Amino acid sequence: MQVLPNNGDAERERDKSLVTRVQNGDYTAIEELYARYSRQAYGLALRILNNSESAEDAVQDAFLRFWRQPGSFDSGKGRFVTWLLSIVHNLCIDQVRRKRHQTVSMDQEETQQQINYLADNSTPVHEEVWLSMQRTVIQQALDNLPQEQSRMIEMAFFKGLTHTEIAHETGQPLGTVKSRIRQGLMKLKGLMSSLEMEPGN
Amino acid sequence: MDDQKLQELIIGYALDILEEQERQEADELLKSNSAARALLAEFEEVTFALALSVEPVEMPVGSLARLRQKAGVGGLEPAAADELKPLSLIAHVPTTGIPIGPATGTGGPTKFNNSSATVPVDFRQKTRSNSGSFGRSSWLAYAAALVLFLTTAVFGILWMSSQNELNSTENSRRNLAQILSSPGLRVAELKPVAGNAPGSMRVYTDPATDKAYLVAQNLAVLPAGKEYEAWFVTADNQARKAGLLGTGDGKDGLLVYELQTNGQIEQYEKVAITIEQKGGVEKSTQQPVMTGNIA
Repeated sequence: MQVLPNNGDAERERDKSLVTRVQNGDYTAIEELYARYSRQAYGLALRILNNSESAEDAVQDAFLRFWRQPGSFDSGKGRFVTWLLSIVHNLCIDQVRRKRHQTVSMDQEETQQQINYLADNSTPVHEEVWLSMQRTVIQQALDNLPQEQSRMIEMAFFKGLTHTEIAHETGQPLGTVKSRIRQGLMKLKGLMSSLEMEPGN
Repeated sequence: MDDQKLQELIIGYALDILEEQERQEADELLKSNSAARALLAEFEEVTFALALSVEPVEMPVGSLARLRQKAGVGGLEPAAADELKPLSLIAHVPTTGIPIGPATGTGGPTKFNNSSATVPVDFRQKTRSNSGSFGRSSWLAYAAALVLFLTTAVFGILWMSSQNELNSTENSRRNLAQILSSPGLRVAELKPVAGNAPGSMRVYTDPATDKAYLVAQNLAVLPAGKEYEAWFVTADNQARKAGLLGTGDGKDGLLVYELQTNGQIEQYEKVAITIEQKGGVEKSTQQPVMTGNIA
């Protein structure tokens, strides 16, 4: 099932070509991939970690993982950006979970100011139209979820809380938590699949 | 294991929020159950979408240099190291006649005919202080300044127009995203009437808001003087103009057009695409190249 519009054969071929170059030892290809996807990855990392330095480290660690272990990604199994964001997410959640039991003082106001300074509020000419449209659709779909479902999905995906931890935090029974997350993701899947496009039909 | 339990387990696995015992259970299930693996692939798309829901943020200044340092590669100046290549532009298409980029035939730098200057030039004065002198070099300097000003103004206006056009496209995407969640959403998958499709197209309509959007991909470039035109077709086979889609650009990005419903979306049964004279026609003169039933 293709959940979201694909980003074009040309773009996928370009990514494949860059991946192959990396796998052949061409470092400049890493930088091209970095130029293409670091912003999206950094936005995700910043959202989870709420700290610009840690977020940058997470993004760079993900790219460096690919550089040092080029066999860790197989173009035949999916898109590079999917793999990249998954790695960044995992690195960030691992960090959040490790720190959860530590007392950490986070200057959220400073971080928010940095986000405001760094975020590009205009419509950038060079922004990938595909990712932009996908983001708009997804945000709308999230906005249309029942509040409890979106809240629990947020806690799971962006804070790395397990079912049990979400149940503890919300005061809801474990079964209710599992059910709401399931319903929320099923609904998201349904909403997003309405954009399924098959070129050349 | 019932479907609900399977979904909860796989979703938890995709989100990585299972307890250790459940994760082991899921690992075992995924090894042996192809349906579970297929379900996981579907929900990994959803988690990817969640990752995409976050707005991108510019990397901090100097990040490229730090990446190089961590990678153990060097040899570039810090200034060059921070120059990230921009992402490639995928697609943007005007739905009206507003061009993007420098218009052709609208003139270029204004040329001044120096032979029309009537003030005689005293070259001896050029070697002294220039106070009070207005020689040929001054005319050229003023002419160059005026040319620069006019050129900047023209390109500035055209750039602003292009930004408005991009913003218009962005608005269409945003508005489309709003109706995608509508409970009454209807979708028409357009198929070629004969031969190969000139691209792939889908129309989304929302009776509640009377809005309709056409999303196109891989639109073939038409010959000069031709343009794609969209039509809504009623139950009694009456075609109503829905809008012009341009001449195609061959790019594989998503193009979003807001169609004209004239407040009557409920009465339309089909969408049809014809290839007409550039600028469109009041009544279709050609057989449709693509049609679709509004579900």
